[in-house]
Amino acid sequence: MFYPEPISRLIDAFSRLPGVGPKTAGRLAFHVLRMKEDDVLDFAKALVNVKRGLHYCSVCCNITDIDPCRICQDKSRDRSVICVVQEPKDLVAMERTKEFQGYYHVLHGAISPMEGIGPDQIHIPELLKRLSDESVQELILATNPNVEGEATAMYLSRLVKGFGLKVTRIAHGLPVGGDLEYADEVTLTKALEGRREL
Amino acid sequence: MLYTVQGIVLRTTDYGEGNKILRLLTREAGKVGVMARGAKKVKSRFGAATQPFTCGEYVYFKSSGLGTLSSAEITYAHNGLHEDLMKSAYASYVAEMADRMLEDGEGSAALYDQLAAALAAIEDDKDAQIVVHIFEMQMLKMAGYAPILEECVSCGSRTGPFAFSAQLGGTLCPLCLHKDAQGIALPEGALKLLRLFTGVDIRRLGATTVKSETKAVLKQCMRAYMDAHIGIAWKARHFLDQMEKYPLS
Ligand SMILES: [Zn+2]
Ligand SMILES: [Zn+2]
Repeated sequence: MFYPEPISRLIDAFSRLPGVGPKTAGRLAFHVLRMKEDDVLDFAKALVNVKRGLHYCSVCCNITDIDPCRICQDKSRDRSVICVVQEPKDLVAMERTKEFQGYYHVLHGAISPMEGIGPDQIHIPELLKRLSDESVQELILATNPNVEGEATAMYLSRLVKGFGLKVTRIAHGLPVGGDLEYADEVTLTKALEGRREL
Repeated sequence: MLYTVQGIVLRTTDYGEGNKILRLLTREAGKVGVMARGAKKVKSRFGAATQPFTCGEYVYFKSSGLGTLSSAEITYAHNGLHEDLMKSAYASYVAEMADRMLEDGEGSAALYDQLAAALAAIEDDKDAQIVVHIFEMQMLKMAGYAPILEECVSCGSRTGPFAFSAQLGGTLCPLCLHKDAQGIALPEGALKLLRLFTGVDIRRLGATTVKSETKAVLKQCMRAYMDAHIGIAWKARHFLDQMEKYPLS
């Protein structure tokens, strides 16, 4: 392709996004060219800020702009329960149910021998530290109901055995093989109600 | 052209909306990549046939490059490998070797049979570390890097006690030991097993009881050798290392 360099660099940048092929990337790049300069600046700032302004909460590992995050700072929540989720978007999905009053721990992934993703890559050391420090009595494992999510739940349940906690797994009200973020509130509430001990 | 093959799923990667790319080791055509359209959908017609470690009959179209999966029928699902994290980790390492050490089209019916047997042996509670070492030897042979274990790799002497030199590619006699500062002392039992590994058919592997000290030496030798001659950062091996770091009760 023979576009001027700034355009081909932008196309290249867009095509690094998930689900964006070269054609879509080209369309997006030329759309940016037609946008108002102020809008482009806002867009660029938003991109930079999401990277520079956000970090992991030092308690629950969720992404946050303040540390500890708003949920971890909320003293009205139930300190005896921690709900373990894979992704920040899963936490948001759980919060939408308004059924859960405890705290969270965000793994940012799931265990995968095949991908070489082990405990160190998914913030498990941070979780273990919380379990020894805090007055936690129950750990709810709300990882995705697919192979990696189940493996992570099984692994965690064995790993924390020594802490003498009640360990529960959210029930399969959710379609097997699917992602937690796509579940509606009703399904998630059901899944939460039907959790079982491991 | 339409191909019908016996295949084992080595690895799957998501592609686009709901599709998966499978890398298969086949009995007839070596390693091949095929696209399974819609394989991620809940009601996919391929079902569990696109899960790692599954052995089955795969039918695909292919002209050049990536094939397109047309149908798949499971012969053996290896559910036991998915249900146990350690078994799953060892199986992943075996599959990763076949995937990353073979180019497309490379492989053989014999290697396919050994891979199938290795997965079955791990599922079957055989000593997974031993199974892995035997498969490592098979892959090394296939790649033309099998270690020399019958004599001193440097002078040809057959008089031991031998040490193991990953760098020099096999056993070193006492007189040549100084040639590799990283040489690993090799007790008689460990040497016998290394020699055995080069020739054994995994399908015939019975129950084994190997002392943990011997297993530690075997692991050290095979790891150093794989790193010296193949030099791939194995994802599944990294995972296995982490499993040792956090012991489970
Ligand atoms: Zn937090
Ligand atoms: Zn010698």
